[in-house]
Order: sequence, then structure tokens, then C-alpha cells
Amino acid sequence: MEIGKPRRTYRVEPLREPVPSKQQPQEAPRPERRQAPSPVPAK
Amino acid sequence: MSAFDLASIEAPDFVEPIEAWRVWRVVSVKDGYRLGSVVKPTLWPPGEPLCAECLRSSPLGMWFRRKREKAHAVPDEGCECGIYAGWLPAIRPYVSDPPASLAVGRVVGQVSLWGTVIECERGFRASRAYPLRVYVPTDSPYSRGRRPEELIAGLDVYGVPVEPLAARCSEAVGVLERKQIASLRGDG
Repeated sequence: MEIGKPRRTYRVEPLREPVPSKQQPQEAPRPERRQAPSPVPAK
Repeated sequence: MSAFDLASIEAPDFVEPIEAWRVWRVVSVKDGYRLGSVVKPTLWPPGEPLCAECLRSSPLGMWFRRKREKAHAVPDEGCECGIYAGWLPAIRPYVSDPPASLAVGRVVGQVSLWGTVIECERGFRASRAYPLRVYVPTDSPYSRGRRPEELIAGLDVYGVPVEPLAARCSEAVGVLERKQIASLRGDG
């Protein structure tokens, strides 16, 4: 890129780095726990 | 803390990043799209700042130069290195360039610059950068089969606003200039 000759050098120290925090992959909802079927056969 | 200690602390010139404009090529990778330099093979990493390296010469040339002279800070006023960004008119010639190698499209946008930043006549060279906002012109994808919406969704990985621009690449700078003037006037 043609931006011409240097004029001045600055030290730029942002209070907060301008980088968005990485998007965390969303955890898939856990399947609802089901109660084990009763070993007693239904009458 | 003594007066001597205080004197050795240098205050930065700015505590907010500098904002400027640039053009990126869009490169297709395994898990989506990445922004890349239109001049160098550099790809911009999502979620972390791009850190400048001196890429002035070939790797072999760099090796010989490193043997000969001390490595310099990047960017350096005496070199051409650094991450480039410019005033809007400065990016105009690059928006309508022929497709860069491996690119699937071209986008324009604003970038945050920080670290060591050299102000030049029409832009900046910096040691650290991250995209701030990306605009996708209507003819951004090079292939007719690829739609701008696809690039917009794929560039979401950077976590910054990626917006469609209702203009072709060749008109993008003019439209963005008018947009900027309107926002300075507070026209919405």
C-alpha cells in the first residue's frame, strides 16, 4: 500500500487490547437423565 | 518509588488504538474463511492480534541480512515493514485490483492499530493490528457461485461486525467516504 514517507512514531498502548474474546463453542445441552426402569414387572 | 524510577517510566502517546482502512483478500481454509494481506502471504489470525514481522526480502535474503546486521524493531522508520493501513483514498487502488492468488474474494474495512505505530503521509505502519469492522461489497466474491452472504457468515470467526456494502468494489471507497461524512455529521 502506498502510504508515503514516515512522519512520526507513536507508542500506542490501549487500556484494553482491541481483540474480541474468542467465542467459546456452545456446549450441547445434556440429555435429561431418565430413571432406569423398575426391575419389578408391571402387573 | 524514587524520582529516578518515575523518570524512567515512559507514558504512551495514545491509550486508544488508532483506526485506519485497508483491503483484504478472503481466503478459503478448512474451517471457513480468513482475511489475508493483498500484497503478502500473511493471513490474519482470528481471536488474536496480528503481530508484524519484517518481510522485506526473501527468507534466504533475510537470513543473510540477519547474519550481517542486527535485527531491527518492527516497524522501523528506515525500513518498509509493519502492518499497513491508510486513509480511505489510499486504499482505492487496491479495491479493484485483479484477484490475488488463492483468494476467493476481496473485502474492505477498518482496522485497529497499536504497539509501535509509524504515522506516514497517507496512513500508518504498525506492530499490532486487529480488524475492527469489515464491509463486503456486492461483487466481493470472485466466483459467481459464491454469494457475499457466504463470506459474511464465514468471516464471523473474527468476532467483529461484518456487514454487506450496497456497492460494487469499484464504488466502495466513494460509498464509505459518504457514510463516514454522514456519521460525522450525525446523520445516522
